[in-house]
This record gives sequence, structure tokens and C-alpha cells, in this order.
Amino acid sequence: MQAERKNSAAKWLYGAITALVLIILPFVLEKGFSEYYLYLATKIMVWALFAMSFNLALGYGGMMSFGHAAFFGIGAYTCSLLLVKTSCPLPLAFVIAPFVAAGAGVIIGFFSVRIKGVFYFATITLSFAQLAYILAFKWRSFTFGDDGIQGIPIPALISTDETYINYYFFALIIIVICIYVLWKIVKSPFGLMLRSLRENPERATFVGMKVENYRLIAFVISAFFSGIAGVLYAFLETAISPDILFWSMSGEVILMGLLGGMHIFLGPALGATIMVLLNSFITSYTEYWGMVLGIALILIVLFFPKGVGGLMLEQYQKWMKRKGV
Amino acid sequence: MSFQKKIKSLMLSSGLILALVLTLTPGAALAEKPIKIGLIDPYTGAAAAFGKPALICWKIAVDEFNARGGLNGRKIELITRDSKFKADEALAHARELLLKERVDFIGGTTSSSVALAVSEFLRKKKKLFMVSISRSHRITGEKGHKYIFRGCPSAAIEGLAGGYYAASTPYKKWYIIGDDYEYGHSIAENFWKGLKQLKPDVELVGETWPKVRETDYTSYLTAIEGKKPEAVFTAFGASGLIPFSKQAKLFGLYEKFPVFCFGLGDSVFPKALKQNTPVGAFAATNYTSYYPDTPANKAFVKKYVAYTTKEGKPDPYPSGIAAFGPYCAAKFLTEAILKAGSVDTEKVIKALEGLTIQAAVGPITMRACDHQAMTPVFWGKLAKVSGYPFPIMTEIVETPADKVMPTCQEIVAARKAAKSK
Repeated sequence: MQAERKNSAAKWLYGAITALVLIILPFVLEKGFSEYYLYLATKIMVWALFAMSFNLALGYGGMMSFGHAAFFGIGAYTCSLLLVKTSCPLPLAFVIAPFVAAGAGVIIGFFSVRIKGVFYFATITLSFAQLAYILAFKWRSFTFGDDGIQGIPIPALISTDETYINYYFFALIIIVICIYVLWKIVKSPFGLMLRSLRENPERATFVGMKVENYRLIAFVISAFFSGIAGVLYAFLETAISPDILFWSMSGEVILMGLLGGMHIFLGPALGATIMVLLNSFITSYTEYWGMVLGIALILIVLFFPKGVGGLMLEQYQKWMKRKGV
Repeated sequence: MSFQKKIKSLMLSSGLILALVLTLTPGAALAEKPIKIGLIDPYTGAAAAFGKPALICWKIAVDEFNARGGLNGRKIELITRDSKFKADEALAHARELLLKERVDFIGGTTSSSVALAVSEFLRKKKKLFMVSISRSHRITGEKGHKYIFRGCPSAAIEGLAGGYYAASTPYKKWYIIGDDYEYGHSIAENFWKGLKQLKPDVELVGETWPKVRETDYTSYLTAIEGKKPEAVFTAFGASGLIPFSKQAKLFGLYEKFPVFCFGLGDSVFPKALKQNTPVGAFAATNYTSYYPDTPANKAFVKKYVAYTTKEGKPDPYPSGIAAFGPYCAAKFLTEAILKAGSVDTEKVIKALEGLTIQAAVGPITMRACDHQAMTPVFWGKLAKVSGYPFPIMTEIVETPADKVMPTCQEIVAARKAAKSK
């Protein structure tokens, strides 16, 4: 009992420290370093949300989706097109976009979840995502084609013209809410069932679970949150192009999951942090950042199959044990 | 400790150290702070055929500036970033160059959509952007603003000149095929505008827009034949022209129809196409090493050869699009810094407006109203000429820029219309 209370007190303490760091961070970065690092911090948060919503499908649902760029891109495109082409107010566009992404998730998921085998699942999601990419690429009159959308109108309150601080907090609030909801989902009975499905679908079926329904729901939720990440990305960059729908984006988010550890809740966020930072620093030294990434990945898959997050957790648990003894 | 554990801890610690070094390495502290120009161009992939010569020409202009003692001793330093021909990649680099490297100016861009994305960002950040390859007329037209300049020609100049040139030929039924992106539509739109102006009875029997990076043009080529045009205008950009020209040659397009194509007169395409360069096609560029035959042009070629020899690939045929244009852009910027006597953005903008540089094709002026360099266009017919490894333009017709540029009133009206949209 006492240990439990101690435990929850520690939890509150960690939470308070994290919150304090996240609140002070932008001011330190902007004043002490450069606005660029603040931009990077915001970018990391957006990618972290994308990676974590993707991980609901991969890490918890065991669905190797190779088409999550579609939901990210559809979210970004829906919101941007609504703002550029119609007089839709921003809050409404922001709300519509993830639902459109979730709608796409229902369609793609409907065909994909009943397919058994990682390979086939990856292939069918990849094909659907490429379809979305080609649509954005070819339908020039509607999506502006390869030119993409520039100058997405963003209200002064969260505009990044002068400083990234306002936008940082805007993104932070939304992302924290999303992550909290994702956490609740993962910890709910639904999340537990999802994991049992991942571990042993046959047994879960015998117990009476409808495998496809559970997988579809998880897939759609994942698409919904990916759509939110897409909108936040569009606002941060203020310009988007069909490249955000390309399969390499799906690949990147998978790598984030692997890198950070896909069986740990915050693992993909760690992966996103590493990827964004590596990318930003390496590309200012060499044009061949892909090579560095490739080598890093091979090493990680070979030596740390649980990802960097898994490794850190392992070390932490060992350390706690030693301390306990 | 087991072997695997050892490796693990070794890798973890070395990774941490590397990350620390990468984040904490400050820029080399120099006594005299250099003027920094950030360059964003494709240096890998197919479009590197443009980015690399462009970089050489930026270097030539910067070396000339530094050799003259710089700005009161302050030299220019170029910082390059690979755009990979992608807008989001380029935008991320622009942000990093501006906010982290704290560059004074940004130059470059090959793809027009990349130019538009970077331009929008720099307009907000109030930093000067010198475009050196991108062609779309919208860059300095309806989407132009105070902070963007273009030292190379625009598709408005080159397209309209093409239309005027085509109007002097007898063909009335036209077919247009081009890359489905900003540049393709831009040059075709202006070509048709020029042609229609001088010859109102021309007819567009068909048009088709294959997607960028298309690999198979067969169906498009057969479609052209079906429409039975009298002449064809092709509007392909940096990535599409080479694969298209190869397949069109195999298909026999150039034997079947008179073909008009802007870029084929430029050395960069025949160099890549070699024997696939269509002889007899009507082609154009903004600069050739063989015309005009003046001492200024010879001096530029000599310098370019010297620089490319240093890089290990001597090139006696500097391209108009990839080399001469970027040189002019770099020259405009460096001359303006000297004229302004400062790197202050507002002062350099003032100095650039109306500035004239002496280039290999004669004097070129930066028009004050739209920040567009007034460069001439050369159209001609491709023919095999002894002494050249690829077909070159003959019977060259030079169109001065002031004849084909949209007027300042038109620019103002276009920008107003774009804003109210």
C-alpha cells in the first residue's frame, strides 16, 4: 500500500518535471540557441504523434501497415485544401481533416484487416497509399499536382512568421491530449484484447473475439490520429506537396517505430526524436543522409531488436533491481 | 561482460558522443565574419545535371567578388544544401539555413515548385532570395514580392519569344505536350499567348500533360499523331525533356512533325542526349557558347572551362540554363552587395533594383518593378555543324527581353488579382 502511494507520488513528480521541461524548453531554445531548434522541437512532437498513432496499428495491433503516409497526407491535404480553396474557418477544417483520414482508414482497413499474413497486409496498404499519392500527384486542377500547396493561411495567433513559440504550445496541447487518449486506449480492455490478438489470433478467436472488428477499429483510430499529425505538419511547414503521401513517408514512420521500440508506448516518440535530429544534423554535413540512416538501422535491428527505447528500459529496470537489492 | 554486451555498450557510448559532438560543434570562429549565401539546388539525382554546373558558376562569381577584396575585407562563403528536386526538402533546408546557419541571402532552386515554396517562406521571413534556374513566370509574376529576385530568364520571356518565333513559321494547327507541373504549364501558356498575339488564326488541336517523372511516353506520342497537327510544341522541364526526347526520336516524332522545344538549344540537353538529339527541330536557349561570337563570351567560356577542368570534367560548352543563368544571378547579388556597401537586406534590394551587369551576351538589367532580369532569348534550328559533338542552333534569331516581357502594369494587375483570389 505504502509502496503504491510512493509509486504514484513518484509518477506525479515525473509528470510535473516533464511538464515543466516542456513549458520552459521553447524559451530556452529560442533565447539560448536559435529559433531553428524550436522548429525542430515542434517537428519532433508532430512526428512523435504520427509515429505513436502508427504504432497503435503496428506495435499493439500487429498490423504492418505500409500505407500510413496516406492518412497523414490526407489529413494535411484535406485541411490545406479546405483553407486554400474554400472559406472554411480553421477550427472546422482542423476537425474535418482527421475524420476524412479516419474515413480513408475505414475504406483501406475494410479490405486490409481480413487479410492474414504480414506481407499481404503491407502490400495492400502500400497499394492504397500509392493510389492516394497518384491522385494528389495527377489531379492538378484539384490538388495543385506536383507543385503542392504553398502559403496555407494560418491565423496570426498560431502563425510561425515571427516566432515558433505560439505554434509550439498549440501543437503541444493538441499532441498531449492525443497521446493521453492513445494511452487510455492502450490501457483499456480494448487495448488488452488488441494485444492478445497480436500475440495469438487463433486463441483469441476461440475465446470468441471478432478479430477483424477489433483490428479495423484499431486501424481507424490509428488513421484518425495520423490525420491530426498531418494537419499539424501542414501548419508547421505552411507548404505541402504530394511527397508527404509517398511510400517513403510510410517507411520513415515504420523506421521510427523500430528505432524507438514498438512494444513500448513512448518508444516511437523516441524513434521520431532520433530520426528528426539525425536527419537535420547529418544533411547539413552530407547529401547522403540515407546511407547513415541505413547503417544505423542495420545495427539496431541486429543488436537492439527492441529498439533504443527497449534498451533504455532494460537498463533502467536492471538498475532499479540492483538498487532494490 | 559478454562480447555482445561489450559491443552494445561501445556502440551506445560512441553514438552518444557523436550526437553530442554534432550538436555542440559551433561554426568556425573567424575574426572577419564572412557573408553567407545559402544555396539550395539538386546535387543528387537526375537534376544534379543542373545543380552542379550552377554551383560552379556561383563559385566563379563569388571568387570574383572575393578576389576584389570582398566587402571591406568581408568575403562571401557559399553554404550548399541538396534540394533533391523536392519542395518540402528544400523548404526544410531554407529554414535551417536561415535560422541555424544565419545566412544573409538565399539563392538557387531549379524546380519551379521548389522556388515557389521557398519564396513564400522567405517573403514571410523578409530575406532576399535570388532565383538562379527556376523558370515559371509566376515566380516574379503574380506570386512575386519585394524579397524575390530572378537573375535568370522567366518562362514568360522564353515562352513569348517562342510564340513570336513560331508565328514566323507557316504552321497553323498546333499540339502541345508538356510536363504536368509549374514550369511546363508556364512556358506553354506563354508560348501560346505569344503565338496567338501575332497570329490570331492558329488552332490548338490538342494538348496532353504526362505526369512529372513519367517513364513511358508511347501513348502520348501516338495521341499526337492521331490529332494530325501541323506542328508540335513541347514544354518539358529539367527532368522530363531527356527521357521524352529519346522516346520521341525512336517514335519518329521529329520526322513526322516540325517540333518546337525551348531547352533543346541549350548544351545541357544535347550533352546528355548525344546522338538522340533531334536534328531539324526548332530549339532555343538563353545563352550559347558559340553565339554571339564576342570577346566577352569567349572570356566567360574560358573561365568556365578553367573551373570545370579543376573539377576534373573540362566542359567547353557552358549551358545557358544551368551555367550562364546562375552566373548572372550570382553576379547580380554580388554586385548589389558591393553597390549597397552592406549586407542589409533592404539596402541590397534597393541596390538590385535597376542594376545592370555586363554579361557574356551583353548588358543585362534587373527590372525594378518585378525583380526580373531582362535577358535575351535565342531561337534557331538544330543542325549538325562540324567541330561540335552535338547538333547546335543555326539561323539564330535573337529576341531582346523588353520585347517579350510582360509590362509593369500587367505585373501589378496580375499580383493584385492573385491576392484577391
